[in-house]
Formats: sequence, C-alpha cells, structure tokens
Amino acid sequence: MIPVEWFLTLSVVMFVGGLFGVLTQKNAMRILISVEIMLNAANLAFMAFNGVFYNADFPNSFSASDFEGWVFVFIIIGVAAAEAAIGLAIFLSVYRNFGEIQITNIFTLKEQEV
Amino acid sequence: MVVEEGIQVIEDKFLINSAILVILIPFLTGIFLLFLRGLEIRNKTKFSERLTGSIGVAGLLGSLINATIIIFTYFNKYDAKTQRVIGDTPFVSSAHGTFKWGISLDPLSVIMMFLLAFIASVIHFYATEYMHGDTAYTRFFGTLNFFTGAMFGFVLASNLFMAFVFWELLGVSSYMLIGYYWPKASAASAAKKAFLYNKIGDVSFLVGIAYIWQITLKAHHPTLDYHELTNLISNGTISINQLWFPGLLLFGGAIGKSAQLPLFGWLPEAMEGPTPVSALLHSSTMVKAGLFLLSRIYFTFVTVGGHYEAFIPEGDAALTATLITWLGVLTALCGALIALTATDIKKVLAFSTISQLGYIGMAMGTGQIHVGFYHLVSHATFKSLLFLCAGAVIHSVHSQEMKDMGGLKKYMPYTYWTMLIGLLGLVGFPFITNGFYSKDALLVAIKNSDIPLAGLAFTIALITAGITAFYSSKLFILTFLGTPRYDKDHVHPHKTGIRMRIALIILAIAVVIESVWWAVGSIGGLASEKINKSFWNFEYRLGDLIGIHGAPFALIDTIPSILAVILGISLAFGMYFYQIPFLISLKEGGFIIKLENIIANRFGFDKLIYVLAMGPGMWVGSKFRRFDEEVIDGFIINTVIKDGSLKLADYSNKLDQDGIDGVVNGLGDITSELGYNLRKVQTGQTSQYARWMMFGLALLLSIMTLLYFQTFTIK
Amino acid sequence: MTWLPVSVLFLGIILILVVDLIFREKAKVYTVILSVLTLSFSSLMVIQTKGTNAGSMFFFGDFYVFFSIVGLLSSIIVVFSAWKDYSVELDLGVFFSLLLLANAGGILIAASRNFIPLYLGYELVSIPTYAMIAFKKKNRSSAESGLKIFLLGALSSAIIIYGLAMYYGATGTLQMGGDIINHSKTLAIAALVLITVGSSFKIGLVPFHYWIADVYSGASVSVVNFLSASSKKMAFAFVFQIFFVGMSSWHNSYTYLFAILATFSVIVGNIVAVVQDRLLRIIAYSTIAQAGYIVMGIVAYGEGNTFTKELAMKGILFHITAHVLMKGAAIAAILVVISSTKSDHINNFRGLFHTSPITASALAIAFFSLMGIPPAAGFYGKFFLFLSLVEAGYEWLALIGIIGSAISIYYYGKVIRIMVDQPESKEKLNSFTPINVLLVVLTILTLLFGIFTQDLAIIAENIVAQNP
Repeated sequence: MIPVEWFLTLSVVMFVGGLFGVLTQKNAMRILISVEIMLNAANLAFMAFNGVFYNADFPNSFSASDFEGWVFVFIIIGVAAAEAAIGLAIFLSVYRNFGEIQITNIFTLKEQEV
Repeated sequence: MVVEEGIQVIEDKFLINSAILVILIPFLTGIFLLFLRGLEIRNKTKFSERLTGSIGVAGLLGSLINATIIIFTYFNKYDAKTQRVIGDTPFVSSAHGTFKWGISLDPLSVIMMFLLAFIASVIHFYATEYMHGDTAYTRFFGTLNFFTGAMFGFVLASNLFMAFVFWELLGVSSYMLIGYYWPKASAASAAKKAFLYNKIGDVSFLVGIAYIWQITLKAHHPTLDYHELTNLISNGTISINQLWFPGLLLFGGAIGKSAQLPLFGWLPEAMEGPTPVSALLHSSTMVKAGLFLLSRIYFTFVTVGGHYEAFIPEGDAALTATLITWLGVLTALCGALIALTATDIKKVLAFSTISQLGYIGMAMGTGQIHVGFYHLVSHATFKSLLFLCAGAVIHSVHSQEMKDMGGLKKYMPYTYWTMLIGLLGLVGFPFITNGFYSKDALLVAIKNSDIPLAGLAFTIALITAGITAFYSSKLFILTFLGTPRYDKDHVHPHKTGIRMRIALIILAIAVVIESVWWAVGSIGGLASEKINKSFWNFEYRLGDLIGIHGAPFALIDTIPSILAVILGISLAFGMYFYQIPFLISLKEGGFIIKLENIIANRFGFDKLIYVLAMGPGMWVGSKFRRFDEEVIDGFIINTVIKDGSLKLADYSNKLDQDGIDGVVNGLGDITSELGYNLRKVQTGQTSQYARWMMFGLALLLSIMTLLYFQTFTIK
Repeated sequence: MTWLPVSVLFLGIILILVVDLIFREKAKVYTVILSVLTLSFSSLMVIQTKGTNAGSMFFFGDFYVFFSIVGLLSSIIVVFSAWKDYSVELDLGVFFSLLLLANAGGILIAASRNFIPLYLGYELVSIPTYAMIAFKKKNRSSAESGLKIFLLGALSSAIIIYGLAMYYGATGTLQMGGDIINHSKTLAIAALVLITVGSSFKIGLVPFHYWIADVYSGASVSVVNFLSASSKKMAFAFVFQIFFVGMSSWHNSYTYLFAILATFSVIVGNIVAVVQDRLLRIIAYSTIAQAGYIVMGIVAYGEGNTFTKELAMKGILFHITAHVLMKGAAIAAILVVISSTKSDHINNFRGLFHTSPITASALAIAFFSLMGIPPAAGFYGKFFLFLSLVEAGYEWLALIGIIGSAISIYYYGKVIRIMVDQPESKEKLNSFTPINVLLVVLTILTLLFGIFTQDLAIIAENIVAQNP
C-alpha cells in the first residue's frame, strides 16, 4: 500500500498549482480549469483519507459511514459539472458583451476615482 | 483461460496491436492536426488544404485498413462463437481490484469497428470538399479525427472503466465539433446544450460504474470487464436482481448520448455543426455509443438462458428492461411526430434519427440485442448517406428550408438517386431495402416480447413506421420533385462536386450491398436451411454468435409493416405530389392540421392549463386592483404617509444639521479621507480580488500558526 | 413527509416553468402568484415538519425552522421586487424557478447535521445565484458581475471543499461535531483556516468582500435584493452550522479569526460607505459592515458560557430578521427610483419625500433601522450582540462596533437629508402597487419589531439548547 502522505503531498501540489493558476491566469476559461484542478486536489485528499479510515475488514462488513469520503467525491464531481455549466454560460454571455474573456480587460465595475 | 463454459479467451498480439493502431492513428493524426492549427494561429498562415485534408483522410484510411485486416482475420482464423481476443494492461492496481486498459475483439465490437471505420472514412473524404475554403479547415479535421478516435476507443474497450474514459472524450470532442462555428451564438449554445445534456447522462453512468464495482467487490470478484461480468452472472456469483439498478444508471448515460426520451433536445440543435459532423454524429458515432453500450451491458437487464433465449427477468429486475423498451417506443413515436411538422431538411433527418434510435433502444430493451444491432447497422449506413445528400442539397441551394427547394431532380441527378436509395432504406420499402428487413425484425421482436403491454408497443411502433414513410416521402417530394420554389435569380442549383459525388456513390453502393445481403439472408433463408445458418443471414448469425436467438424471418409477419409503409407513402404522394383535392382538404381542415396543432401546442397542455389558471388569475388580479384603488391610494398614502413622513423627515434633517454634524464633522473629515484611500483597492480587476483573498488566507493561516500551541487545547 | 418543504418547492418550480412556457408574455402574474404561494406553502410545511426524525444526517430543530422560514419569506420580497424590475421581467418564470431552487438549498443547509448535505445545500444556493446575477444576458455590467462572482465564488468553493477534506482527515468523519484524532492538529488548523476563508467570502467579510460592491452595482436590483436579504441569510446559516455545530469543540481557536475579520469588516465597510455616491454601493458596503456585526455574534457565542451563548444567539436572530426587513425595504425602495430614473446616483433621490412619499419614508425608516435607532428593528440585534460581546470579555470589539455604528449615521443621514430637499422637478415617480404594499408591510414590521422579540428569544434559547 502506498502511504497516505504521498497522496496528500500530490494533493497539496495540485491544490497550490491550481491556486497559482487562478491567481496568474488571465483567461477566464483557464481560471475555471485551475479551479477544477483544485477541486480534484480535494477529491484526491478525500479518497486518500477514506482509504485510511475505512473498516479494515472491508468487504466482509461495512457500514455507510465507511464510504463518506468516497460518496463526497461523487457529489463534488456532480457539483463541479454544474458549476462548469453555469460558468460556460456566463463566459458566453461575457463574450457576447465584451468580445473576449480576458479578465484583465473586463473592469467596468469599480470604484470611480473621485 | 476459460472465462465461460464454451467461451475461450485468446491472446493474439498481432490482432490486439492492430486494434490499438485503429484507435491510435486517428487520435494521433487528430492531435497532430490540432498542433498544426496552433502553428497556423501563431504564424497567421494557413497550411494547404490538400496537405491537412490528406492527413485527416489518411488517418481514417489507416484505421480502415487495420479494421479490414482485423475483421477478416478474426472471423476466418477464430471461431467467433466461442473465441474472443482480449488484451488487457493493468492501469491502477490496488488491494481491492484493478482498473485495466483493455481491448476486446468479439463479434459486436469488430463489426461496429469496421462499420465505423468505413463510414467515417467516406465522410472524411466527403468533408475534404465540403469544407473547402473554411478558415479553420485544419481544426476541423483535427477535431474530427480526434472524435472518431474516441469512438474507436469506446467501441473496442473491454471494460467499463476504459469505455467511460473514451465516452468522456467523445463528449468533449463532440462539443468542439457542434460548436465548430462558435462565433455564431446559436452554434455556441447548441454545443453547450449538447455538452450539458450529455453531462447529465455521464454522471449517471459514472455512478452506475461505481455501483457495479461495489457489487462485484462484495462478491469478492472486483471487475468491470464485460466478459468477466457475464461470467459472474452465468455462474451465479451475482444475480440480475443486484444488477438491474446499476443497469438503469448506465442506461441513464445511454439516454443522454443516444438522445432517448427526456434528453433528446440536444440532437436537433446539434445541426449547428457542419454537415459532415452531423452525418458522423447521426450514423455511427456518438448517438450509437449509447445503444452500443446497451448491447455491451445487456446482462444487467435481461436474462440470457442456456439455450439461446433472452427473456425479461421477473420481479423488480424487469423494471430496467421495461423502461428501456417503453422509452424507446415513446421516443420513436415522438421523434416521428415532430419530424412530421419540421420544415428544415436537416431537422427532419435529425428527428428521424431520434425516432430510429428509439426503435433500436426498444429492440435492445426486449433483450433482442442482435436485432437492435441489426437495425443499427442498417441505420448507420443509410442515415450517413442521407445526411451527406442533404448536405449536397444545402450546398447547392443555400437554404435548409424545404420550401425553398423542389424540382432539383433535373440539376442534381446523382444526389437524387442516392437520396432515393437512402430514403427507401429509411422508409423500409418492402423486400428491396435493408431498412425493411431490420425494421421487420424489430417489430417481430417487440411483438413476441414479454414486456408489459407489448401489443400496444407493437401498435405504436407500427404507426411510427407509417409516419416514417409519410415524412420521408414528403421530404423527397418537396426536395426533388414538383416545381422549383427557390429564388431563381439568386440560386443556381449545381451538380455536386466530384469528391462529394464519389462519397455519395460509395455509401449508396454500401446501402445496396447491405440490402442485397439482408434480402438473400432472409428470403433465401426461407428456402434453404443452409443459407439460413450461413453468414448471409446476418440477424440469425449475429444472434448465434452472441448467444441470443429471436424468431426467424416469416413472410406473414411482414404484412402489417408493408401495409403501414404503403399507406404512408401513398398518402404522402397523394397529398404533396398528385395533390388530390380530397387529401389536400384532409390536410388543411382535418386530421393532419389538427395533429400539427397538437404537436405545436405541446400535446394540448396549453388549453387545459389556460382554462384552469386563467379564471382564478383574473379574479385575483381584479381584487388586487380594488385594494389598490380604495385602501392604498385613499387611506394609507394620503392620510398616513404623506403628512407623517414629511414631519419625520424634517425632524431628521434638524437632527442631522444641528446634532450630528457638529459631533461628526471633526471625525468626518478623517473618515472621508480614509474612505477615499481605502476605495482605491476596488479596481475592478478580478484577479486582484482573488489575490486579496489569498492575502487574507495567508494572514489567517499565519495567525493560526503563531497561535499553534494555544489552539485546539481540548483533546 | 420529512422533505415536504423541498418537494413543494420543486413542484412549484415545475409548475412555474410550465406556466411560463405556455403563457409566455401573459405568464407574469401567474408566475408571481405561483411563486408566492409556493414559498408560503413551503414555509407552512417547514413548521409542520419540525421535530421529525430523518436519521443522523439531518436534524429538524428550531434552527432549521428559523433559517428556512427566513429564507423563504425573504424570497417573497424578492418575488415582489422582481415583478417590478424591468430588467428581469422578460424571463420571470426562469428567474423565479432559480429563486425557489436556491431556497431548496437553504432548507438543506438549515437541516443538515453532516457536511455532505451541508455542502450540497451550499452549492445549491450558490449556483442558481450565479445564474441570477448574470441573468440579463445583453447587459455588460450584469455579465461582468456574473463573471466576477462566478470566478471568485468557484475559487472560494474549491477552498471550502479542500477545507472539508482537511476536516475529514483531522476527525475521520464528515458528521458534524467530530473530535480531532491524535496528531492531526495541523490538519485541523488547515481545515479551520480554509473553511473560514471560504465562508467569509460568501458572507462578505473584509478582505474577501471585493465582489460585493461590484456585484451589487452591476446586477439587477431584484437580484441585489435576493443577495442581500435572502442568499446572505442562507450563507450565514451555513457558517453557523459549521462553527456552532460542526466545529463546536474547536471554539477556542476560531474566535480569534472571527474577531479579526469582524474588526476589519466593520471598519472598512463603514468607512468606505461614507464616500460613496451611489445608493446601491452604499447598501453594498453597509452589508459588509452588517456582516461584521453578525460575525461578532459568532465570537461571543464561541467564547462564552451558556448565558452568553443565548445572548449572542438572540442578537444574531434579531439582527438577521431585522436585516431582512430593512434591507428588503431599502432595496425595494431604491428599485422604485431606479425604474423611473434609470440610475441609483444619490442626486436622483433629491426631494423623494415630495415626489414619492411612500418610497421615501420606507427608505428613511429602513435607514433609521440600519443605524440602530430604537424602536426600529435594527436596534435590538445590535444591542444584544454588543451586550453578549461584553459578557464574553470582548469589550474592545464591542467598542469597534459602536464606533462603526456612529460612522454609519453619517452616510445614512446624508441620504435622508437629500431626500428632504426640494426636488428638481415636481414629477411624480411611477408607482407600482405590489411594491408599495410590500414597502408598507415591511416598514410596519420594522417599526413593530419589538413585538416579535419575545418569540425569537425563545427560538434562540431552543437553538442553543439543541446545539451540542
């Protein structure tokens, strides 16, 4: 068995990488992709932790709470799909209005200098 | 290794490597072309169409050659009935089972692969001319190859895990293809819609896979392989009573991809893609993926007995099969009815695809997988031909509306004849077309099945066959016969180009070959038992190979469908071609117009709800108005608010000027100054906001780290 | 039976969509009626289902009843203001179905005792909200505010999920109230900080507040009403569930964080509001400040004994109820002005008392309430919150809150003074009866808030007793 720390390390690397992407990328689509990477980092962490917590006697006896982490992963996947759907729709409407989705060029809403 | 009694798993490096090449060649050429497209964008140039088009077609031809080698080797060298060629590579191993990449060569996958390679090659060839002059020619072929590669991967996969991976790739690449003309808003939204509808199914599919994994894990045989699952069922380790629910979830995925009843909305809109894409999407890829999946997982919803019988299980487990069948029946009917009212030539074909997919799903639901597959093959061939023909027509008159066509027979003889062949197949014209035999097998399958209300389902399917004949004939008459209705000053119908013509002819020949093949098998099978058992009888032979048998072909069974087809065709010709006054009056005053109204009004929901909701709504509205006039205007506004509030406001004004201003003024200056400075961070830059958030995160994190030893002292 | 409120909402969604499809242009009134009926009926069902048992994942106690009903009833305010709002009225049915969907999420949040349904409810609130904000497809600022909240919201939701993963690692369970396993203190700290950051974004604490001002000034006014009156309450329910139930045994760690965040929020929110000249931006910054006040309640709750907890919970409930009333009224009043003059600049409010007395007085009373002047609703909440802070030993935080309130008098008073001035033109504003009815009702409730405090206090005590 691979120790859980390895998974966690990979997960943290993914999370920080995704975060870095969110902070540095200029294209909204790329930011969305970076967020998806962050979500997958969380998924990986859930999987790894559940591997630690589940009943060692697994196939023979288990209860629903042994799968909490894995169940959550499915829910996160579903939510991520819904989020991506809304995101694509919003990007489309931004594209229609601004002709681009470079977020650095979209800043009509801000404080006016007085 | 013997997987199942009588079924032998063979390892054949040569065949497996060829199969891997079938998947990889289109994939790699696709990725290479997309890479070239990247170069084009960067250097603002365009590679010659001859080069990129050739790479695209060559990728598919490579697959076709390999597929031909495989199909001949497999059927000649091995006994397809008892021998399967499987090559697996472990991907993720764990204490509780293994995920594998694997290729499975068995009758279904090999035939499907060959069909796909053939049709896709022809369509690619057609597209080299059709897309001529398009600015993103390279991108088109890149994505098209990628898409076909994904479908190959799905077809050849030996387990659900790998199938899911390619299933998702199909979804992504279809998104790119449908949204090919993405600057057009309708194309972008059509692509989005297709993606989302498919995504709904995908989630269901994924959960279904996890469910199956859990069930097999409990049974101490964790696996997702089709063959091993069949094996587990047949030796009784797991029973269908455990599998019907995950089967239903997997079917949920198929609903999305194959445009079955609630999720069919995306398919007509997918017409926004270029015509070759529609042809590919509708014939052998994408929409067939869901049905092909059903044929791979049939053990979750039907029981296959020892002696070539597939029957619907008893108890709860019957639900999945019943649902698949009935959704199929209703999809077939709805698709046909909507096709009746559509006026756009591509839309008619799209809805007819939905209808035919419903047919196939219906047959699969009854457990007659081979019958469904039989019609799938026929449909793939004639529908790809029909779409390419429609593309040629649109290319020629620059309109998709049938009211702008008519009389094109004179100008486009090749398209006329090829389209006629395709339409005859779609209609199922008695005895001379492939569609006739496969549709007849479907009808027999549903009639003999033991799903609830099979008689009603059979009747609906029969009516659908009549409607199909009607709208197909209508399409044909309005497009090619009669008098021209297009704008003669601007539109000059021209012959289709040479490459497009060749593609049409190849596919038409394929339809004809299939028709002959089916006819010899079915009619000849009546006469000679030898022919009946040989490869000529495709249906029987296929059923034999995968272990299911249906009722044999019988002339007496064909009578209802012949009658329905002839009725449909003659009605259409009477109405649109000969314009018989009686039928016209029927169309204008009577049945058809009523039917059209019903469909246009969403099957009569409108009126009912109008009556139910209108009355109470009006009543509440009138009461509201009276309340407004008498109570609000009269009393509250004039008496209470106006006088009272003005006094209150005066008071607050005084308070502000005398009391607060004095106190705050000194502080106020400082506050304002601070406020002006603080608001400068609100720059409107989203990424800057995100950075501020991360600043907050870092701040809180460092505070907590500093307080490390003081926190969480409890336990 | 247990999920009747949610079932009612889903039924309502289907009906509204069908009616909208069928009647098209004429469907407006029907969808409004249907939405109001659905929301009221669902609230009734919430009361009916109180105390039912649905396994360990859910708990249908007073917290569930209070927050579900606050969400549902405040959505009625949104329905009325959307009816008037010219910018969303074309697709009203879709808009309302999104609203009802978000409410289903709110109910899920309020009922959860496990992080899985809690998170699901959170996303069920957030995702329709993104869609509602970007609802005006052809409007630049609507699209831009949608983009901003979506990107930042997705980021914050990813952070929360990662925090939940860390929580799972630290406690070994996703059930709320888990104890920390040995040697997982670091994971617990990561979980705490990440979840705090993610939820602070949703309730708009400084420095996670940037989206608020931009979105409030970019989206349709009725959406702003939803964000401020309804969705914000659901977000608070989420935060309370996490910190009062989920991390109830970690309280000596999270109070530090929230004390800092509350200080920032109250100061920055109030000070930046001073220099604003657009009403919606004033409302936005005051929302940030108000969130700071409520978070002070979390600090007091986490730090104190049962008596302090009860005080803090009373303050929280009073303030949240009052906030619905006063923000609902204020934004509906602003909506009336915007729909006549097409701008929320402060100059458009000049002389409002003469041109539209109902609107102006409702706005004025809402502002008095926001300042915290008795007997308006806003007073009670602030009073109890500051009281509980003093009880919990956080006098300095109470002082900051009072200073913030003092600053707020300045910018609210500025608006009231402008409304009393002589108007530039004597033209009457277009008035719209349902909005007027709404304003009158909300204003009366604001003024008579003292009557309800008794019942709310009992609910608060029950909640404290039911929390672990």
